Amino acid sequence: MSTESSEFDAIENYLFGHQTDVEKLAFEQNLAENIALKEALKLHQLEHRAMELETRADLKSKLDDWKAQKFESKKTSRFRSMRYALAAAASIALIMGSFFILNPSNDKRWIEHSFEATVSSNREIESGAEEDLLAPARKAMQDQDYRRAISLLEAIKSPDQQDRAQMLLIESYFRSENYDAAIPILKTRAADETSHALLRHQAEWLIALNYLAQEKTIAEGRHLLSQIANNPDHSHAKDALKLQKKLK
Amino acid sequence: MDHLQGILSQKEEERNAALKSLYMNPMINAKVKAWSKLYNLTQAEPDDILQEAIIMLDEKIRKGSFLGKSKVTTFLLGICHNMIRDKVRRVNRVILKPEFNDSEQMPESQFYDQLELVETSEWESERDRTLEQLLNGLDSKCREALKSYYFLRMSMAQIAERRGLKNAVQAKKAVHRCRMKLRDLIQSSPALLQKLKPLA
Repeated sequence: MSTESSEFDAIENYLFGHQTDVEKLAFEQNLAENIALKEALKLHQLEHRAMELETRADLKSKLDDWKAQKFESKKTSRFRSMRYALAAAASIALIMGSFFILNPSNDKRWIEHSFEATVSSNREIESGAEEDLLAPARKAMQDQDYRRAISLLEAIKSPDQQDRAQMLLIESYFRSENYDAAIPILKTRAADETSHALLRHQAEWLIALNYLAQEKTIAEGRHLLSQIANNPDHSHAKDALKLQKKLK
Repeated sequence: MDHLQGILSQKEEERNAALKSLYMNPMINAKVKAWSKLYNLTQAEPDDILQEAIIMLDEKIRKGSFLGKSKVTTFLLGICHNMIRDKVRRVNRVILKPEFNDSEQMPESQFYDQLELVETSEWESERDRTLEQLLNGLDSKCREALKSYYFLRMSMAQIAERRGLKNAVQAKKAVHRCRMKLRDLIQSSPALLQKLKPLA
């Protein structure tokens, strides 16, 4: 092996971190004394940077292609969501209609309305991304087959989809009036210190709505609602204030 | 295959699948959008931030700075979180400091604080602009071969197959020729050579 080739390999190994600690130390000592090696290293660094820029440009161009797909799928997803929202709205209207006849209080209407507003904004944020695994559960929710949706969502173990699956699970529990099942999940989310404050606040807000939606926990619901409304730093403080005014 | 293995894969389709899955991940997109909202960034920006963060993540992983003790998604979110925070401070920072402590036990929020983005210097930006111009002097096959060998860690046999060359020996010669062409281009640029010193 020629000296030139050996120097070339040594520099490459140094830049790619392929040397042992001893080799690295020896190389760096040599570098401190050898000006020619120092210049050669700088040249290698520039060549590496050039190749890195090429890799960057290549990935950027791929990301732009995927972006087009992402926003295309977002449009489709929005359309699906819109259909779903319309179906959900129609079903809620039906439920509400019967509810208002049966119940002199309109409180539940406002609780349902607040819940719908919150989960719709989630759908808005999260639509557009790949959600093949969630599609059957979404379909079951559209069909108001919440039992099936719950069983499908509980089976999702993919780490990428678990967070979204959990939110859909909470929604399914709420819509099937199984509030007691939704609350523990929400409590875990609200207590998760590693999660972002926005997500923790949303969980607290949804706990309040789940409490308020059932007679037996209405007092806890009002208490939590008041705590949220009185905390100006809470992301749902305004929503809580609005709901407080609507509730009798 | 997990994200880390996918990104480091020598098979381009596996690498693309891993990067695409991160880019399209609903949880990541939702968090980046929520943070952008929290820090009052405009609606158009979350996707740009995610793209830039994925490019940085890819570089860090390929350079071996990320050991994979924590999840790739957590690492990516950490970069996004820092970028969003820095944008609010109007600091244009695009390089990650390498000394962070990668640990699976660390809570996400604490992990984010372990990352720091540092500003690209004027010299670095100028160097990159010059190199990008010089790269145009290489034909696309050469650029592809260099990138594949040095950064995507493809074997010479794989490069030979991609470039339609006879065998690995031919590919090795081709890669070497391309590397020398790149060297000639760099050495023919007085502006760049003059700027070699700040690299020390």
